[in-house]
Amino acid sequence: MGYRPLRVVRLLLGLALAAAVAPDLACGPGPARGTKIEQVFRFRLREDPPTLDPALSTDNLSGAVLCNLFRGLVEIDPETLAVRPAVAASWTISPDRLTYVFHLRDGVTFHNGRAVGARDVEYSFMRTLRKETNAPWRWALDPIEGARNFTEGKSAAIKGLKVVDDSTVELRLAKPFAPFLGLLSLLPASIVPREVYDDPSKAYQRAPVGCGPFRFARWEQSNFIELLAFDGYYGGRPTLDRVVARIIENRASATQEYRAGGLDSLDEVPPPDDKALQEELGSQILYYPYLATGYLGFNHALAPFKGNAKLRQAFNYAVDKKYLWEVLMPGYLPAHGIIPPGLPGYDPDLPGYPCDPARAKRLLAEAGYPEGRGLPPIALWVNTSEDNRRIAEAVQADLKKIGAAITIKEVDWSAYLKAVEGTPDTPGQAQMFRFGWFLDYPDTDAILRPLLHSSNFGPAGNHIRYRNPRVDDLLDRALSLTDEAQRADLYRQAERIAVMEDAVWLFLDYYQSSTLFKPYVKGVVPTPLGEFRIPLERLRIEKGPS
Amino acid sequence: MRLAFLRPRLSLMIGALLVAAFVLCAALAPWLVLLVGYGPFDQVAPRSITPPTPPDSTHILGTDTLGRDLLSRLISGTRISLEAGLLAEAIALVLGTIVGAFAGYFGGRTDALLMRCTDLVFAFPEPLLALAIIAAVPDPETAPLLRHLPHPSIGMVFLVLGLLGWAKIARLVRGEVLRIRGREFAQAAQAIGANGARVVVRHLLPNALGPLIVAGTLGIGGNILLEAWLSFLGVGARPPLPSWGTMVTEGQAYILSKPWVCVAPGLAILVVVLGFNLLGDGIRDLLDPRRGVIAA
Repeated sequence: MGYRPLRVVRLLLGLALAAAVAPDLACGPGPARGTKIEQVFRFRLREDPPTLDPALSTDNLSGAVLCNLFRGLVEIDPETLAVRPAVAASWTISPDRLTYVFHLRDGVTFHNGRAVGARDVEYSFMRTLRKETNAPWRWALDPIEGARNFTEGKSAAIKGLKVVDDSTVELRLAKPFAPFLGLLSLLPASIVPREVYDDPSKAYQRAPVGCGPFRFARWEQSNFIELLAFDGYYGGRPTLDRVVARIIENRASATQEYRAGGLDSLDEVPPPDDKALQEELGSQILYYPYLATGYLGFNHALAPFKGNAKLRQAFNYAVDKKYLWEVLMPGYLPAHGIIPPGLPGYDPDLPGYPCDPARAKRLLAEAGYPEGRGLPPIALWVNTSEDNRRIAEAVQADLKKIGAAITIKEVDWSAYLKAVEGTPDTPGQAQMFRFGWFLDYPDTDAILRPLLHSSNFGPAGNHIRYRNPRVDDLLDRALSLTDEAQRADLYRQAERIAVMEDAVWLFLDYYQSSTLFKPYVKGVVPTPLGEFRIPLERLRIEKGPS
Repeated sequence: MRLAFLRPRLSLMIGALLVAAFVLCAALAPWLVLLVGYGPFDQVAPRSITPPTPPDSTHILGTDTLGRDLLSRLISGTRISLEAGLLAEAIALVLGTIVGAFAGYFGGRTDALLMRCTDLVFAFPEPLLALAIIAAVPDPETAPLLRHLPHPSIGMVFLVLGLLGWAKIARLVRGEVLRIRGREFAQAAQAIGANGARVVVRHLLPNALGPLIVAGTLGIGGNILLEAWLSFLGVGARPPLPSWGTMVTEGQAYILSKPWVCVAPGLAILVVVLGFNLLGDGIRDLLDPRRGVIAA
């Protein structure tokens, strides 16, 4: 009870500060004040988003804003990662898995009030694929038959895209590709209105128009981006009236702002060893899985890892991942495999490699290097960063315990990438390197195929030059299936081979997101898609009357 | 008069003490570490607490970011610092003396050419040149010659520092040689038929020894500092070697919350470099007769 007056003072202070910092925010358009407390959610962006054009977006900053403004034919359920209807109410897939027919939902309107029709889908896809648009993630639509030819200017239309009638679109693929629906949920596949996006002055770059739950209000560079609830959203008007993305670069200032009440969420949480801040804010931190896996890659084309699975297993058993991620650098989950939790193919029963130095020593001897004797010099490459060095040193110390001596090589990012990736024909020079893989789209294929399929040597993702025909075959077969359970099963089989038999990497960690939310923010749906993809249309603010 | 005589002695004494302690520590490092009870590479912090752990009775200086005993690492680090300081300075002295003696004794074109070479070295800021050379040899572990050293990355550092330090020494030696060459005893030696090498080695260099000792001592301190600086930037000693510079880097993220991690090695660098500078200054004052007169 004794806390009460203090809390009131703090709240008042917070309000005063918020009013002082952004006086114009407090009286923006919205429902008449007084009748009801305006529902405002303010989150922090590190920098201005590089673009507000959905066709050009590849990064999470622009994604954080755009995912609220735009919708594609389908969307990903933020919790289950299953594909669900969005602008398309339903679809059918032909038995040969090549033809997709989408039936558009009635009553979907753009923020400018016009109804969305099949022609808009055609226009949007053509815009993204057109060479002049220069969409970096054009590949999302590449599976459509004739997409390449259209981009290269060899045809005036996309062969596989047909507008059947005003509310039906047919897409034909060049070959079966199971994750195709998932690709259609990506921002470059958003549906945009032609009358806005044909503007030669490109005004849409600063005033995007889509059909998502929020509509764009304004963008003050380096200050804030404001979104308003869209009354005509097909899924029902969001509870929030207003969303403000405040651009605050400095981490310390953002933390202060959050403490003072100027932010309702914050993407950077206090470091675990900042006792005072942890005590104050620790209970407001939300940890949840994120679709990314961290590992140390073994170069399968170079000695000593080439063709020596025992050695790779020995290294795996030597490293104490539990200590590494639970004590030394909390905030990650120790990994036992490749597919991160949250994905359909995730296998909680995969044994992985728990720390077992005795076993590691035995395997090292069986690999031909008893006590590490005869091991050639091994360099572990990392790109320069405090955390990377710490991880590398911890691994180095653990390996030393079984007798394997490695050196650490710290280089800048571009030199590092060059040494790690190699080219499709020649291996990179790094024998061992630390890497993290973020999934481009939420499908197990997006991690196993680039990293392990033998057709992806070099920069495409298979830096380690792993080749196992059984794994290749499983991955290829999974692409032509549509039953998600069957697909997940194939992926689990492939993962088991890569992890338990071939020990392709030194499996390190699954990433986690951590975000601060004020206790009055309700309806938070933690999603493996990342902190900026938490669906804002489901949030509500429950502050007591102040 | 008395005070003036004492003042140089005082800095000399403090410097000598600090340097002696440092050298002793480096010489006895393996045994001192045994005495501490923890190796410099052993992760000794409890496996349940996120390191760095604060100083306590078992770990007098606490542990570092990986839970290794800081005192043990600090002691082992004296070896790296001393190695880098001494060996780099030895390289610089040998090279610099040869170049300087040549330039000073022969004069003329040889002198001009050699001195332009030193100008070239002086033209670059020392740390930048060091960075550039190190960047040019990205892999000391596989480089010829270097890879046979126990710690190739450190070998690279003292090679680079030595190659940078010679110019100063060359200038100094040249100046001394020029000064002494005109003296009667040098001319007498030449007159009785001593050849050039003999004159330089037997007559000129011994008389230039004083300034060389001073420059060498100061140079060691400078090298230790540069080594720490290079390691701090991540291009010197490679982890897990306990170079003081590396230790400061590792601790800098904790400078506010867990200051001991970088304060301990930072202080060590400060004290040792101070020691060498005091010692060098002290020797100079001692050898320089004019100083005393002016001070009096």
